[in-house]
Amino acid sequence: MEKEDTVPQWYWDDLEWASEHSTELHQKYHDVWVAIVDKQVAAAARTIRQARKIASQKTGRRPEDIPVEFIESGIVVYGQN
Amino acid sequence: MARISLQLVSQQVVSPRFGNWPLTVIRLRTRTELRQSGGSYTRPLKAILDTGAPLSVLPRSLWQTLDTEIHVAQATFGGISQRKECQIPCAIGTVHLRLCDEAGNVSRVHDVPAFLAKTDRVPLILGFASLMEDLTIHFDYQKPEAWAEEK
Repeated sequence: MEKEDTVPQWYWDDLEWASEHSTELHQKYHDVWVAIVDKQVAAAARTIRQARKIASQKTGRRPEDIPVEFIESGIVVYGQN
Repeated sequence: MARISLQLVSQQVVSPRFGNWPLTVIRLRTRTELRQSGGSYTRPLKAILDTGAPLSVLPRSLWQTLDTEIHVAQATFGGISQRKECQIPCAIGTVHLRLCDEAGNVSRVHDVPAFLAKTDRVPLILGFASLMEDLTIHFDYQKPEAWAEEK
């Protein structure tokens, strides 16, 4: 099946940047969402909405066009008791 | 049959919590697009693909904008500890999502039951129910390669 819309390459680049810099991000941030624009952290906040809002204000990019990633503190096991 | 690339992401953790003994944390990740209340889909988001999670988990800021059917308004879920203070308040509902990758491969839409957390202090997790039961998941950390294929 083909996708009906195209995701811009800059979005993919920013999305993957966080994976490539996972160790550094986990050393610097704990239990926050980071918003990535142009392959750097544009904002870090407790909520996705806040991280995107701050990053949008800084960069002019639409909030929905800003990849976000949750940076966990240490090792977390998400059980579902 | 779409074959969608997955990611094996690793990070080094050195923390006093673990006696400063260096640990390598490896997670299997996918990218997913979620159906919003207007019917369009979000941009791809990264999610942990967790075979140990019966249900998916979505943070509040994310699911509040989605096309979601709520089945249970007040519930909780948690980790290994069953203590009340370790439980995370949530609703239980169904969201609609598809997996995708940078090459343009995309899965069909899956109707996925999920814990809809009432906090953003959780990552986006895709669990087993109504998703992995329909997929073949392959990963080999040494090569490295990982993908999901619909049956």
